[in-house]
Amino acid sequence: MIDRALSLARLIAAILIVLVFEDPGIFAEDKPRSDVPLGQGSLSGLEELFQSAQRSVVKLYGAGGMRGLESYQSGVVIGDGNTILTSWSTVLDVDKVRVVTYDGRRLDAEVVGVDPECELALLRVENSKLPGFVLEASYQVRPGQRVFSITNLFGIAAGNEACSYQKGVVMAVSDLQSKYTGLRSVYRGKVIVVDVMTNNPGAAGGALVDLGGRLVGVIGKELRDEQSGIWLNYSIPADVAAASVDRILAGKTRSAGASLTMAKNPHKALDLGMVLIPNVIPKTPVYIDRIRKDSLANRAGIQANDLVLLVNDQRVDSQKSFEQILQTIERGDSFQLLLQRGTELLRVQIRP
Amino acid sequence: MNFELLRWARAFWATRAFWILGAIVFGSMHVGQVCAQSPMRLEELEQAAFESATRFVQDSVVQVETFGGAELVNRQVTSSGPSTGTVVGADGWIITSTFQFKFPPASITVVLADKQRKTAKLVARDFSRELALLKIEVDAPIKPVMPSDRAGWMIGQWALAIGKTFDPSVGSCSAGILSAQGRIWDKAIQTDTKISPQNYGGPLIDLQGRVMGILTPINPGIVTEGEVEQWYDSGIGFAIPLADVLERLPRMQAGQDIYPGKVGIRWRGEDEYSQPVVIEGVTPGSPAADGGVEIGDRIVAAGPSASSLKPVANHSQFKHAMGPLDAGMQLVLVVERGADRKEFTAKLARELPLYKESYLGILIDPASAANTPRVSYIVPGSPASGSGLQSGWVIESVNGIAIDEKRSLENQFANLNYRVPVELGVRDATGVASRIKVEPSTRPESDFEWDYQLAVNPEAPPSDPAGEPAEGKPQVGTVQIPISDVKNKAFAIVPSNYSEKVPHGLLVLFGDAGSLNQAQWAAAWEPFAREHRWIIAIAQSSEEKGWSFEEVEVGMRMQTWLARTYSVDRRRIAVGGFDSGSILAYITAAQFPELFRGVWLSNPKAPRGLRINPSEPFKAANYFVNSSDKGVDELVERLRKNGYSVQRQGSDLDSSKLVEAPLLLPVQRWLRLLEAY
Repeated sequence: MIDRALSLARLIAAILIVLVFEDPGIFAEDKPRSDVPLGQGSLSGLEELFQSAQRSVVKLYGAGGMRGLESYQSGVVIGDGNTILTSWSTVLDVDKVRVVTYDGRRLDAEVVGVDPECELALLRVENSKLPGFVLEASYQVRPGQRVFSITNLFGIAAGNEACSYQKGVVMAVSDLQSKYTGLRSVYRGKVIVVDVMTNNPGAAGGALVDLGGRLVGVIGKELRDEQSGIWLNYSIPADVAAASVDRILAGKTRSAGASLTMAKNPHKALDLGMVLIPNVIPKTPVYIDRIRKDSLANRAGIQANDLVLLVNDQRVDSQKSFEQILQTIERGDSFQLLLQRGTELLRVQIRP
Repeated sequence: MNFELLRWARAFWATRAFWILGAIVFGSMHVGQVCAQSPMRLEELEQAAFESATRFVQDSVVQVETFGGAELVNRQVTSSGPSTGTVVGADGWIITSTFQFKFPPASITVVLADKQRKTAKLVARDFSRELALLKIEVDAPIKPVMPSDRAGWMIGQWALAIGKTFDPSVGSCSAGILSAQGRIWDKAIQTDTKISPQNYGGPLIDLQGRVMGILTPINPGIVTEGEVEQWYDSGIGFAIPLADVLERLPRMQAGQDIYPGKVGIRWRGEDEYSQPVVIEGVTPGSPAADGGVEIGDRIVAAGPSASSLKPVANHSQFKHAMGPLDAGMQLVLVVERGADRKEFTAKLARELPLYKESYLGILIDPASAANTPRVSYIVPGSPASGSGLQSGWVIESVNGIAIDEKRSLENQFANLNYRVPVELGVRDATGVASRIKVEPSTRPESDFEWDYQLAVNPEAPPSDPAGEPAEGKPQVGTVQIPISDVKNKAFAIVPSNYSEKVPHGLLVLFGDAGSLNQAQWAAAWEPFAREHRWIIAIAQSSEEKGWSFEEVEVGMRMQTWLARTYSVDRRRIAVGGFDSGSILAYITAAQFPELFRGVWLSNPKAPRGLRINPSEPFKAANYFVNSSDKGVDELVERLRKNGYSVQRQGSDLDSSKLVEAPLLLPVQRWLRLLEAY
């Protein structure tokens, strides 16, 4: 009796398994994939997202190939399909950049213009017949949101092979500036940081898309905090990229590192009337040893034994970084210090 | 009848299993249909869960910044940029990792979720889990995290790592799973979320935003210092369960640092997953010694109380039982001693009492069997010399414990407490047994006149040169040591009366720089080598100007070849070095502390930060340091403070006049005494 019940159950189970796993209709919908907007209740899924979005990512080949510089990177096709947005790098130092499309076609691209501040470049191809991403400033992401990167990392894909997808979540949307003292990045603005290793050789210029297949960012270059050893996996957000494209097209780009330019006639701690404790270890704290009478520091209310923590909200972790930040402030300009006195924190304004 | 019942029960459960399976199949079909209608649904739901869990916890996560005080370790700044902290008390208690506090910073600040910056005080650290407790003064209560109940955790469930380094008001989120529990000797849980200094000190949360653990730089310790960044974002990250953090919170709030608990027992074995934990040594004065644990006891269970014991079948399980226990906590050990089962309770210590080797001043005839050690010589003026003990007597027991293969004289003496008198059970030459009390001392630290010729060691054995095969017989005299792959030349002085039947002492020397006068070395050492059965091996630096650190392996390669080729006494192996070579000798001994019983440093130029491990039984080398440089005194002091006996001589050794060097005799007397108990 029991035995019979068992074999019956086994049979039912087997049928159910066949039903579930053999019927392609349940998992995949066999229909044309183009021109269907994603994430709008259609029958498209992740697979569709992958197939569709990677048509708008191209492999770029140009100069390089020596001294650790790759001769290839990635690019995203935007707008009408004949414009490619990518990372500005030495790869583009050629007359014609070779573009390989998702279907294996080889096209030649010309550099239309570059935005040194954002390290982005715009390329133009003729009659590509490629679908372009919509570059839309309102496509923003939040921490915890699912994202996918589509890049030709390590040059794995060639010809008509699909670019590589990586899956992750948005860790943070933040400014690169001043958070990590060991970062050597020209771009200092807003970035999308993800929790997956997206920024590999050849990945720069690739696409970061959300669950709706929308372009939310352009993958940045490899970036490592030289002091802490942390690799930062970041993309330039769609709104920053869109503004950058507008500037390139309007011919109004700014030179790189505008925010970090040295002042012509900068402040110096000693001239401000601050005598610091002897600088003896790699990160000597910015303790005030004494304050000169009738100095700017004295007038601002700074006292001996105060510890300088921030200058204009930039973290000062050593006397070296204090000097570096002061060098960016013109002698005529006023600035703010955050001081620690005992356990109290106080803000003072230096007014020349 | 019983059998029938069993069969019925089994069939019942088999059917149940099928119904359950059926339910799963139906269930997955249902999921399949949902997916068919909206395949993005699951991903979207997950995304919504990540976002809401992050939002739920982010006000309880803070940014921690330090100012100044970092130092370079292997060209890497030990702390850089901000890190993260987690609120565990509404009145301003914040737990973070020790990552930023390796060197005391000039200032610590905490930026709360509302972007208020506060100065923080480092209240206490947990050195076992690499956590630190901070206190800030708050105007209004801050929101502490909500714990996740570990009873409900499943390996593979979603886990999110939350950090605050990018934006003080918005938590950064890395999504992954709970990879494992009970890691790092049962102290940590493991996750594949991306863990780095960005979120050290932050919480690992479940999808409800409740905290499972605090992320820390703790790792299995298979990397050396300065290579920690290899673990960053590697997919192998660790967190300390919040329950374990909260359990220790009151102690830390009271300002008490937490350290791993030490018990003071040693065991040996090649395979930590199959061999039982049989105690081979108990550190004198340690919690284990005070508790009554003895050599030979086999540990079968261990835990913080009699009601929470973990079974111990192998070394790994014992480490897992010990891992979560802090200094000051109670340890209950269940051991098997012979046929008995005994339970001991000990209070775990932060530091074990400094170990110094006990010294009685007796030499043992190497020809006597290990279980009947016979005294061959008593050093004049030593603790044993006035005790009534005579040479020729056999030692049968130490403090009532009979000497056998496992509990050998060497084993038992190594575990003696030099502060406590020892009672020896002895049998004299006529077969009369008695007991003798000796008050041990630590090993002598000064040279003294003793006629060590009296203790010629040993009588030449009945040699029969004709009977020994000529072929394959090791070379004697000045022997060149083959070392491949390196430029160094090395030779050994093997005494002319060498016999395989007698174990020999072995002194391996990093000679002075440049070329060596082999004939002079042989003339200086051959008489000692012959009379006391020693082999002296000397290597030459590859560069004229001195030794370099890359050449450190030369010593071990000489030792290995000689120990394979000749009969070497384990208790009489020493390493030494001249000038720059002395540091290589020190490093060699520090790397293989159980191998070298003696270390001779001649005119050492020791770097300031030289690392010295405290001595332990079987790892308590005797030092002979000679130098006219007063700067060497600091090194000698440090060695002594770490429990080593050091004989300090105030003159340099001129190796060009080796034969008549006045230091030669003190060095040889010191070598002769190495094997003494």
